[in-house]
Amino acid sequence: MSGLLLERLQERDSIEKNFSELFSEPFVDQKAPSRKASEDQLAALKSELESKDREISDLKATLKLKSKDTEHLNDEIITLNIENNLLEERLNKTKAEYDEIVQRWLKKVQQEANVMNDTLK
Amino acid sequence: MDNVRRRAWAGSLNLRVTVHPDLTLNSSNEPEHIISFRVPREIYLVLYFPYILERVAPELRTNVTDFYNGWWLEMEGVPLSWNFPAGVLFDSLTGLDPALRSSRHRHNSLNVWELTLRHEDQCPTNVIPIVRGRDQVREFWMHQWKQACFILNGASKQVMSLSKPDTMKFWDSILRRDQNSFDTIKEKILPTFDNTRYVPLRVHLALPQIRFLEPQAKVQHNNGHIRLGDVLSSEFPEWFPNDSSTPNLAKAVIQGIEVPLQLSVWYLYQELSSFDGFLHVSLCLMTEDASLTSRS
Repeated sequence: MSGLLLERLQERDSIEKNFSELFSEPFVDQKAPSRKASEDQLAALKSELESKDREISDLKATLKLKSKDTEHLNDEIITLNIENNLLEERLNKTKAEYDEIVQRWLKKVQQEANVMNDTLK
Repeated sequence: MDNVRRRAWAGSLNLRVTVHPDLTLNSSNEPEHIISFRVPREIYLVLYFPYILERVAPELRTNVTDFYNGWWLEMEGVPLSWNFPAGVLFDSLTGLDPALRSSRHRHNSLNVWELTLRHEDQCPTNVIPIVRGRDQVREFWMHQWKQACFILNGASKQVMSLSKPDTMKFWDSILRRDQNSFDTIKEKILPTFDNTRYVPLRVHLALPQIRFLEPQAKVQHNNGHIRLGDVLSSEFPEWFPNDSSTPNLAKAVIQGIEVPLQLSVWYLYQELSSFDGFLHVSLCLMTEDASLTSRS
């Protein structure tokens, strides 16, 4: 039985090892070649890039919040406008009603005065 | 000397790791950052993160502060759990069908596993975060052995009572690919056939979803050896029907080869178990293509 397994493992290896010479076979501990001075500068620039990236994302978050606020305020303005319109309508109506009542009252008083004058005559 | 154990230990994979474009500098001239190398099947991929990162570091947007934490590899958008041997991940995630692969093999074809390197502050849910570097990987691996030892012996005593130098030698044998010292220490943990309670077995599935099972597998029943087929048909009756007239719908793949289901679990464990003390079986569902090349 081990013959069959061995045969299949050999077949597996012959497939997986095809062109394996093109691939390096590193040890887990294998270190990269040591760093050059230019890489130190690169590291510094990268940390700057990182801080800028963070700044950008912070600003984006702030902007998002602000635009949300603006939207909210806009909504508020619209609501107040509508309320204002409604109140104005009601005011006009009430004014008209008031004028009419005054007119009617004047008319009534006039009538009473006339009646009084007539009886005195 | 060529034998099954030696081949199983020495198996290796060609790997091609691409750095995810989000991680690289936009201004860099090269369109893609790729690193190709060869890894043993019997190792955790995570141990190669320092190797990969040291080489791609100049092209990355950020400075690499930690070689393990937050990094992971993924295949076609699926994050790889590092806590299984590389070979097992390859077999199960690619749905490897050895017969199909060898039928397509030509003398000039190249077998490469393409992976993508990713990094986020938060790892995906199936990736165990590593906060203490390689020590954590070693401890995780020792815990795997404790589990395996418990399943085999009914107690983890054999692993717990390994001396400190032996434990370190055991781990170093993995890193240095030294099979002899690995086997010497493994001998101390494994019980004899008669004393074995169960076989540490893990069955990996990629379909319908990625998951793994740990079926109970005794070594013998009524004085007869338990075969791999028995375990699988009790666990997956729909894929491995019990009666011989209906064909199986899946294949059992261990160490990159299809294994006959009539082999005993104990024998397979002896020959093909992984470096974490478990026998990892990947199930490959048969497609129409595969059934043409099927062989038992």
